[in-house]
Amino acid sequence: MRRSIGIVDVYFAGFMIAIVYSLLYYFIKLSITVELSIWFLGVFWAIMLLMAGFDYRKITFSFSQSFIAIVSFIYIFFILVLRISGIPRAFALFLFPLLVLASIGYFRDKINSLKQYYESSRRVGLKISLTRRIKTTTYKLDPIMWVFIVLGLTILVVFLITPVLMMLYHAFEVPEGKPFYDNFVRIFTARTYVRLKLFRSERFYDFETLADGRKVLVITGLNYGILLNSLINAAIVTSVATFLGILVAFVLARYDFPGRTIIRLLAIVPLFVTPFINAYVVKILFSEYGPLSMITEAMFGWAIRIDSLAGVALAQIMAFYPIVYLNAYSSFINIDPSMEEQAENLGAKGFRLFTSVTLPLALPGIVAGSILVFIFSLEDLGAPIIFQEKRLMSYQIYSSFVSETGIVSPEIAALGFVMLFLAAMGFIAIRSYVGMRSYAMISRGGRWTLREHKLGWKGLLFVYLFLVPLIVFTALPQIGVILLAFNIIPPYGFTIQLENATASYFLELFQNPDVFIYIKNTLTYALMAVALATTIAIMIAYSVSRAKIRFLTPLLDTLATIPLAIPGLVIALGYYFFYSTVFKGTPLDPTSGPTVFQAWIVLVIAYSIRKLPFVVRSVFAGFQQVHEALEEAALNLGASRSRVIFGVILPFILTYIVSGAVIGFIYISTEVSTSITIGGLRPDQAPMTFYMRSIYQGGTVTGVQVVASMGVLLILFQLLAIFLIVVVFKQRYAFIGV
Amino acid sequence: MTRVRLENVTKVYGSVIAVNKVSFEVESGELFTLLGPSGCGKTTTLRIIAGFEVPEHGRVFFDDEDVTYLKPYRRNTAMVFQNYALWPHMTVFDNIAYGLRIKKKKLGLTEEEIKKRVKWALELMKLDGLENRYPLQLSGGQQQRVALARALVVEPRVLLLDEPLSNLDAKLRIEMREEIKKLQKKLGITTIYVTHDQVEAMSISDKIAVMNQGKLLQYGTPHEVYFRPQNLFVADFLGRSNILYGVVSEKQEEYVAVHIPELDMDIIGVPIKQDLPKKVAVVIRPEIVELIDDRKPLIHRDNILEGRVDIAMFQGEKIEARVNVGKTSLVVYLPNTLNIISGMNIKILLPKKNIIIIPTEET
Repeated sequence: MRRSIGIVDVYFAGFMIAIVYSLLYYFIKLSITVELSIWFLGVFWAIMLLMAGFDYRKITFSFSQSFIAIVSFIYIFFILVLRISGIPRAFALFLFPLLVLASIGYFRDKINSLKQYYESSRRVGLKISLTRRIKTTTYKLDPIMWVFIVLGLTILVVFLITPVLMMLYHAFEVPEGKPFYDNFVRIFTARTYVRLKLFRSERFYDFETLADGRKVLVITGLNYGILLNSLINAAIVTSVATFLGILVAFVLARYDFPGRTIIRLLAIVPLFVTPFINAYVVKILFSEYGPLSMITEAMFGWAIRIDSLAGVALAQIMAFYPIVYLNAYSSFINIDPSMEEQAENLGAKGFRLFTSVTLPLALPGIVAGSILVFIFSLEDLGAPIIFQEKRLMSYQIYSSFVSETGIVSPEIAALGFVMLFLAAMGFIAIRSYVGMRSYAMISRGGRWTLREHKLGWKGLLFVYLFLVPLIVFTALPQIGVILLAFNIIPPYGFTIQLENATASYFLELFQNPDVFIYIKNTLTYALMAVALATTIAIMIAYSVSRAKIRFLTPLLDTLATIPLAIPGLVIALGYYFFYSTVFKGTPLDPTSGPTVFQAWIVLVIAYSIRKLPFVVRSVFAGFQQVHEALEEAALNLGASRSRVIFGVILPFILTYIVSGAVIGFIYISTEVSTSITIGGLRPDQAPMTFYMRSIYQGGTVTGVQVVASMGVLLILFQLLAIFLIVVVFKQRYAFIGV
Repeated sequence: MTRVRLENVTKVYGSVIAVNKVSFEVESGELFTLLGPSGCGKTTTLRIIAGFEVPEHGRVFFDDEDVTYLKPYRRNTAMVFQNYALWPHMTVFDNIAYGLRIKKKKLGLTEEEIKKRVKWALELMKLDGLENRYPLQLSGGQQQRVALARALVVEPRVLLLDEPLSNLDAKLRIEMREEIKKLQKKLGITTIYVTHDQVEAMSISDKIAVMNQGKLLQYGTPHEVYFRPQNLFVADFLGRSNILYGVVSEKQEEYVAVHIPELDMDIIGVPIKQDLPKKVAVVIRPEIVELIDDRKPLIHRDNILEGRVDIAMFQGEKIEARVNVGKTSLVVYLPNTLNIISGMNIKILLPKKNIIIIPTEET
């Protein structure tokens, strides 16, 4: 149900506020503290509104229901329990009635639907005996189904939920004598985390003079403290990426111009995962040695360098905007042309048509993409490590693993919790919002001819002068990786030296045992993790698509998707606390030292859980392809459930399973967060990404080409995967986040 | 051969009763049809018999064995699904042989015997020569035959057909229903057939059960159900009916006179039971109406109506006319030899032995 706000509602709201204020006046006269009376009035206001039939949860988009309620709840928890005063507290008091309203409304709805349920079952006039109920449920569940559900749930609870809870538990671990929320107080108040007042000397950009006398404009960005930096960075990255993504997607989806196919392919190049090395190329591109500096030096006499926070934001925008682009592109493509034609038929055109019909229809897809960018930006480690930007949450969490002691402090756990909270908020928003996603494809029935226009000269000018350079530019990091790997460009600077081209760095990958060990580790772990993840995915996807048990199957479904929303660093923290508590004193304990700790076991499990959603999605799509009647026909002819699954269904959807496994393999072999944290605790068992990271950590440029050739190797893996999935298995290749 | 008996079977989904206390018995070798509009619970009932659903109340018996909680793969029923459910990755031969291969050990079959039986099924369904094709390479009718062959080859205790003809075109449907009927009689296999098509149901079945909103309203031979509908839903659902409401005015030995306010006269007909309540409905099938030729002397005096033809539609084998009588109108079928046009005034007779009188309160 959706209501719009009318004039009566405004009067009513005014009236309510008036009552609240009069009562407040009265309470204060009775010498009840202001605060207490506000609390009381909050509840009163909420109940009054509800009785009058107002429910703000149902006024706007449905996703706001749970979203605002949860935001208010957590916000109030932090602000009020942590005794923070001032404007945040006032805002919390303002949110309080909304929270009360939402929760009362929620419970009222629940109670009503329960009532309805019982009423109708009473009207049915049937009393179903408990034994009969149990018998019905157990009848539906063959032993193998039970095994699938119970095993799937157990694995997810033990290796996903418990570690995260463990981290939460440690987040509340405080020195003696301090209140339980002390760690959070620090995160929200300490000047390292939140600094709203900057020094006068701090500037967004500054001129510097190098040793060789060159003048450089250094753009650094401003430091508002770890927490705010992360948030501001994520917000900027998300909004710029969203804007660029929509722009590029719209032009490529709706306009035809010479060279479009190539541009379309180039636009997805940034989605090839090359951990660290692409951010490194961005850093070089925007350094005093880069191409941009050559231009500015020629024009203004000074070079330019984008560094620190600004550098991180730039690198992330370049890496992540294609996520929005691809989501938006497929949304635009999926809009039934007759929708737009109808609008044109009624007189809408141009920008009006776009804002009134096209954008709203494509919005769910776009929003899904942007929120993923938000989560990725928050948890990204590549750019912060390359730019050595320590004043970000992700770097803070990471650096706690590489400290001398190798012991992660509770404060970091609290930081992990805050990061998880932010990511989870985004995820909840997507889940409830993307539920509406289907409306982009209202009419089905065959392919339609896409609406495509030729560009006018203004449009062509825009495309060739702005869009094409932009897309080529964002593809530069990956191109740079390849050039670096063949030593065509030097590790510093940007001069093309074809005469230096060599493939010797690739040989080194395989010939130098100190380097090859990492490749071997990655391949072994990825294969093991993929086998594990595929097995779990089959169990979960089958149970979710076939068993319809209230509460249990939706839970399984959510648990299997949730790793998408949990930042890798949170998983790393969770695993750290989980294994150091539960497996204390065994070789699985991360604190047992770099010779005892068996990192590979922990890594394989972490990988398979983290990348599970990608595999599940593919396998699930397979099960959905199989009409249930196909299965029932086999059961009916006398085949048992396990025989049906292994004999009829799995062979039938093999392509989906293999595609899922291949995608899983790619994302596992390029995984960063747990690899360089947990893996870093046992360097000789660490994977490729750890080696890539360690080259840059040193601060020298030796080995950059070797790392670049590793990046190229990963690109080759991804190309091979795309070939396998798209050409051989005729499936869709899911780029990360799409 | 197997008898199938349902006792008070009830299936509840949340707060919806899909099947409400349904009981019936299917004699061995009988072709039994569950007929009803979509959503009436007929497919659910069939799925309960197959074992894909379990009832919350009541029991299912095959002969005298209680199979309520027997797993579908132990029931030895064979179902033909509405969409045929042929495995697209198996050839026609493999599809048909599947059930036999599953039961290979239990039945002690050799691959040779399986081949023989599949061949028998292929011949039976006139599918010779198609065994190496894949289902997607077959026409709809052929797929239907494969699905039937797959079901028959395992020699099931009960054959279950879930709207098997609904995906075929009209002409093929008529051919197939004849064929199914012949086959079923030839093999003598107990068959339960689900359809929403009343013509199909009546032409094919030994017995029909009419269902609506989860309830079994009536069951009997097609003849019984058509000519002695026990309630208005059945009367309306099977064939076409004119239904007029009225009050019982007079009872004779086997006839009852009902006063119809809309016609302002009495209609005499046969009651479906002796103790009729006051308020009743009169069911007049359009094909029983006779046209009165004024030039010939009248034999009957009752149930004569005069009216004006509102619209007359020539339909080949008959003329369908809507006749305006009093405050209402009746649909009548008249012989195609007559010259009936809109606007004509005609006199019609409703033979009282063919008029059914049904109590109304229950709905």
